[in-house]
Amino acid sequence: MDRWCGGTDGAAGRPLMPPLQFLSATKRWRGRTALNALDLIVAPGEVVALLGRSKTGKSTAIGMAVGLFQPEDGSVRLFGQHPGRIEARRRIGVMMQRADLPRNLRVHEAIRLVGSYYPAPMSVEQAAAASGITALLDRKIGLISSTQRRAVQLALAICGRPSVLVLDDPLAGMDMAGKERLLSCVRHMVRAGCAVLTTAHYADELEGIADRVCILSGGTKVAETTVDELRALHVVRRVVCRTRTALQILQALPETLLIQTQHDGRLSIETGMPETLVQRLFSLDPQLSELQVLHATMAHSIRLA
Amino acid sequence: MARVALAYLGEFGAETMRYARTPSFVLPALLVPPLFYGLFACLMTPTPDAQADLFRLADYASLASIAPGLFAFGISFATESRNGFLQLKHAWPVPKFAYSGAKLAVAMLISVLSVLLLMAVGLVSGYGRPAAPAAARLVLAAAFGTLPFGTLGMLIGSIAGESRATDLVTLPLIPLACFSGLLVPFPLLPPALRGIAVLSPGYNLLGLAIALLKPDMASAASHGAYILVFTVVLGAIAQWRMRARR
Repeated sequence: MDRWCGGTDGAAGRPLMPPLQFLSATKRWRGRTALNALDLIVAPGEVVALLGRSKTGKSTAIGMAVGLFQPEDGSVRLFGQHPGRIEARRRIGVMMQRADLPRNLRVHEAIRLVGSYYPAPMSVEQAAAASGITALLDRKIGLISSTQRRAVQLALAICGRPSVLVLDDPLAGMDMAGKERLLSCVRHMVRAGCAVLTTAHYADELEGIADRVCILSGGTKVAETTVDELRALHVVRRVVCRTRTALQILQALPETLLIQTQHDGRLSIETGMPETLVQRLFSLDPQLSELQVLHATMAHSIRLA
Repeated sequence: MARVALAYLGEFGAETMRYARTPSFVLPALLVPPLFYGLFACLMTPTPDAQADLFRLADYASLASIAPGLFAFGISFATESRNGFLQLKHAWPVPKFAYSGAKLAVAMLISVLSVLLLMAVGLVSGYGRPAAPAAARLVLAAAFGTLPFGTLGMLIGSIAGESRATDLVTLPLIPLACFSGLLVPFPLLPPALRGIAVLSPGYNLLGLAIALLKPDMASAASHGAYILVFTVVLGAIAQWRMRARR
């Protein structure tokens, strides 16, 4: 796998090109701006997550990164080249949000076929082992579950030994075991120097793997930061407890930012003043029980961004 | 270069396997023309007639090109465009034309196999026994004949909405088969339809097949040129549509 050391090329003193770079990339669809002047660099060995609600430009950014769409303004560069060039795309692996694979092909046939597009692909067995689908190699794609098909798509994305991995909502349609396998595989690729651009609807799923988060809203980048910096910007905690105090009273408290009822019946109250809130809760209900004070989730940090 | 060749071969192999594992498509595409030929051109014809037999052989051989072109290319293209697989193909570093070329090649293969079966029926029944060079030319015509229907299918697939593609690809099948002089003889068509029929790829494919059987190279050249132009124009429009959708 290619190594991009970052910084300058010592001999020539020239800065090396990042694997994936958006330079004020803008895309419009039928008069609507789907992506507005996105500036973003994805460096080797890091995972950059594009987050945002639906129709915020995430898949448009992914499409431009792999050469499906051309920006109207600005540009996207893959290893310094236009993503439409096949030489550039020979160094990337792709997992799209919505792509049915040919159902009559067996898994090993699909991996072999996609591997043939790349200069130095993994063997079928290696790709299958990395994505946890060794037991499925002889199965027809149409006869495996949706989670297993997503795992096959992961195998197809990594079989070319990519230097850049582009994953559009990779965890969609996966069960817990599948998600763990995918995240493990991505971590392994990142440790080997692969640059990863991914998207998700649910921010919490990417905690522990995303190095940087780029938040899109209405096609515009509204924030780009590390996960820890994002959390640190908003000193928010979650107070979880079981209480008899009425919900309306709790919602009216000045310390309360957001209240949700958890599946176990306890209330989850997001607050910027956890100590004050806990004191007030006990004063309202001395019988309060099962109290926990937790970090805010990334989802909440992004809501506040 | 070897790696690129491997990718082209791999695409062709994958497409061949896909259709070999889809008997609901491949069996009718392979067997309907020889069955129709055996029934209408052989069993229902009292005595063999060399000239008429060659015409009927060319007729049903032309029919063999329609379904593989329209469906092996058109429907599969539309389906894969609809379900996102085409996007994945564009994102992967697939060599240029490997994907579309493989689809057309498989369509040609199905058409050729169907014509070979058809000629076997003619050989056994005694109703169609062209000389070997003429038979070879007919096979080439059948392969070449999938091109215009393939690009027609591709164009329909590139225009049709997600749920309409299959219906729209099926729509031209009956007119192409019946009203281009294939299932209904050209002289029996109403004058107005005859005027339209001469523009259809089916009519020109039939003309090409007959010309190659005779042989009449001048006529073959003119029909072949029409088919080629039809293919190029529709192919260009389809490519433009595909790029516009990106």
